[in-house]
Amino acid sequence: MSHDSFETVARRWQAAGLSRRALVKLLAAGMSAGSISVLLGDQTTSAQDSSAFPSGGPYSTLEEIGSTGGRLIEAYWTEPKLLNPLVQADAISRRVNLLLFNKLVQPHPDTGLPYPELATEVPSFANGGISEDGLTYRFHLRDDVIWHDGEPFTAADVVFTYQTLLNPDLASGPQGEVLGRVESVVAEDDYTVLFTLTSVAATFLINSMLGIVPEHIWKDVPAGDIIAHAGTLGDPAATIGTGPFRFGEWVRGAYLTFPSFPDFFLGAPALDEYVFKLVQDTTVMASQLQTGEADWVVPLSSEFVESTQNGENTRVAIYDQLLVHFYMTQLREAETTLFQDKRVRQALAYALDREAIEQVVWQGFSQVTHSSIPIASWAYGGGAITPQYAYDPGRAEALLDEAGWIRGSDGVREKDGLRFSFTNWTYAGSKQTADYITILQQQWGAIGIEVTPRTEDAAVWLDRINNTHDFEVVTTSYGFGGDPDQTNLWHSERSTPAGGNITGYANPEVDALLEAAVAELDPAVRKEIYLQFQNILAEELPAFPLSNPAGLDGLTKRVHNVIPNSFNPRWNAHTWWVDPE
Amino acid sequence: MGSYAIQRCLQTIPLLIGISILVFLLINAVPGSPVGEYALNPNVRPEDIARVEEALGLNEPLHRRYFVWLGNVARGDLGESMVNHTNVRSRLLERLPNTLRLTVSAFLLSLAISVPIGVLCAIKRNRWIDHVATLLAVIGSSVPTFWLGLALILLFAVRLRWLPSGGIAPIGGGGATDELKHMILPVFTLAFVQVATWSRYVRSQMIEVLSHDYIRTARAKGLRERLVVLRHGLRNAALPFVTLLGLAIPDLFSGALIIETIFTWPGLGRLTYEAAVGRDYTMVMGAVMLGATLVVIGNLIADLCYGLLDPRIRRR
Repeated sequence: MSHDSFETVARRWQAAGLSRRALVKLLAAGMSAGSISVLLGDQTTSAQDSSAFPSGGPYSTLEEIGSTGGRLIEAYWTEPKLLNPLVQADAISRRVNLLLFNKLVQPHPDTGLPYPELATEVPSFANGGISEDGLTYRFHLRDDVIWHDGEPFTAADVVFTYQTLLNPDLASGPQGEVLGRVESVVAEDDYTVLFTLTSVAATFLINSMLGIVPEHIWKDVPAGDIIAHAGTLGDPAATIGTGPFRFGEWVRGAYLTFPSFPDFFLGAPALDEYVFKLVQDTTVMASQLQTGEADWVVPLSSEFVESTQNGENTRVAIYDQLLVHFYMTQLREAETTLFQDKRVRQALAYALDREAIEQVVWQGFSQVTHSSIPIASWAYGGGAITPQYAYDPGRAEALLDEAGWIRGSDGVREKDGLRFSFTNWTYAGSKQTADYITILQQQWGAIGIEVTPRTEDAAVWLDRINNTHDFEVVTTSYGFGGDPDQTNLWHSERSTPAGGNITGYANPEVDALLEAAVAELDPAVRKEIYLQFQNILAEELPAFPLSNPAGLDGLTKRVHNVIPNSFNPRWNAHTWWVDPE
Repeated sequence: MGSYAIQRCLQTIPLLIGISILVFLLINAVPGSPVGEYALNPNVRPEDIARVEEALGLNEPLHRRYFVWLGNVARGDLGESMVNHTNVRSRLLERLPNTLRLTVSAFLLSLAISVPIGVLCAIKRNRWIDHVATLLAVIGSSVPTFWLGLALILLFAVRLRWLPSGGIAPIGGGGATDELKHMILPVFTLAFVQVATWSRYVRSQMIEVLSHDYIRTARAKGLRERLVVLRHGLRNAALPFVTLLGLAIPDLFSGALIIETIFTWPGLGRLTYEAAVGRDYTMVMGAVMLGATLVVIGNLIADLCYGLLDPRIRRR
């Protein structure tokens, strides 16, 4: 463990009120930086005042700006597609658009809770921003915001953005959280906007917040044409936002440049230019950090962590990720009856030595988890979740015997003439999921279950899990947004083809809890509801969470104030600075 | 010769149409869709996915979609990418020169190296120069391209800092010398493997040809050794070599996918691959048809060259 990552972790540890001595003891006992970082997630949540500009937290402690000017190069393995928040579909486009566009409120990097961006404060019951019945939200807007082309930002732009999102002709993916949620949006004056929702939604302030686009650029473009318009595809005259960087140039297949916007409302950015560069091989990415051809590599493949940490000019940033790895069992009887009995599903879980698996698959940069809700989320139940599945192969075998699955002459369990044999599918291209399916085969084999691990092309695999449902078990990672709502994964109404409910899980109690949680605006009550939800899922195990891996980014030492995190990696883009040449 | 050429040209049109039908059926038969990745997004509902698919025209029957596409192609419109909505023709025309720059340079470099080496090895058979060349050829054929590329990057870009580790030009553009520097490693990697195979081929062809009777006659006539080898030997050995080169033409246009990935070279190979993986139907059709057209034309040219080299074919 080198000096740099120790410092990061130590600072967080101290921020949580614990002594450095205790930290050193834990490290000596063999815990990794990653697992400690992840452990701290819980303790820091209460310390943040989420309505203020972030400061002092693990992902919000900034250095003084030491020098202005210069360029920062971020390397990624794929290009963005659409530079317009109205139609952005993929994660990279969203990531790039965070530099160009701002939202009314955005997630706090430490807690994921909203804090004001284009609005002057987050609407709440306390400040009268949210009406008694929870159906109307009033946002007061900043009056000092300017668009990249010099025009002033007003409520008309917010109204235009949301009315376009409500227009079915737009035909874009991100409309989902607005179309079903917002009834109407109206400007009460130049700097006040009123939203009326279709129903109470605690998710509104996170999931329905999208980047605001300028009315004066887009108002004459028919909604159906927005997606192919020059402004969406990259045009300095039409790709106009309010963010700290503006669109410069897009050399397709190579890079995008973003000069800084000196009239940004939080102050002129320290950098001159930001570059988003395409590098498609993980080895080359790590090499470019060494040569200085890239300053920020996302993600850094785990085999390069040590060399990057020890490099003269490079370091590694470890952070909590909103990502959970699962295996999921098919619960639709028409496809298979193997997993209908809860005892069988629990047995599969007891058979896995997750602590040992973590070391092999993630080399310590991960945390065993007990919930489908990521550990960094305020809704994560942690120790309060029961039951938890410690490695207990004896118990696994007992449960299977009890459920009527008896070992046959070849060692494989059988019941009513059916052999306990199935295929575990995953998508090609991920070393971790490939490792998982191999290890799962071995550990389940030890308790008398015959598993065939299979990988296939990602698009075909997606079709299998979402449309044809032709599988028994799948192993996958799942990335979550800032809000803990998981309706898409577990609600019975979403198990149709193209719905997100992969397992076909249908539990009316869980449906009710999911719906109640979305309609509950009191955070303490909402947290309770999610705990009940997590407990039911832990008991029933439609899917078993394997781990919550840490995020690993590579950085060069000349870069300052870049604090990779899962909730909001761009919140302080205007304070990023680099050492002078 | 003239009517032969015209006949061949006319044959290409039904050939290309047949190829387009085959590719269209194939890409649509494989499971998956351009909006497949939406499914893993926790905020996207099934009705949103349905709306996007409708807007992309994916709900139309297959034959209607094909004929609409064909009609547009006849007017020069290759459509819009289903994934990033850029104009397919612009994308392809952007990438084609990049691919050609890479593959044609490697082609010419390989030609310039493998022919002299092959001839030299044939003449000085079993001397030390032949052994060294054989060793290098074996290495060249066995080494995987991606390994070679990465090894060269680690040596020349990371250790020595002489050359850039990827891309076609420095960020913000650059002069001709910069672009040349960016070309060195990928072209060399591509050429290395080609030289290994081609030089062996030229060598074995030369050895075979040099054992023929007409070579003995030429020598007996008192011709200088150099004329014997080059005008009589190489010219005859070239024929099967041209066939080999003709077979290598598709590679010129499909680009070298692995090289393009390792060196982040924005070429047609990577474009086609990413479009296929992402089920970007319009882009795949555009890229594959461009490649097919160029291959067909390239083969036509190769066949006509054959006629130039070998008078016996011309007379037919």
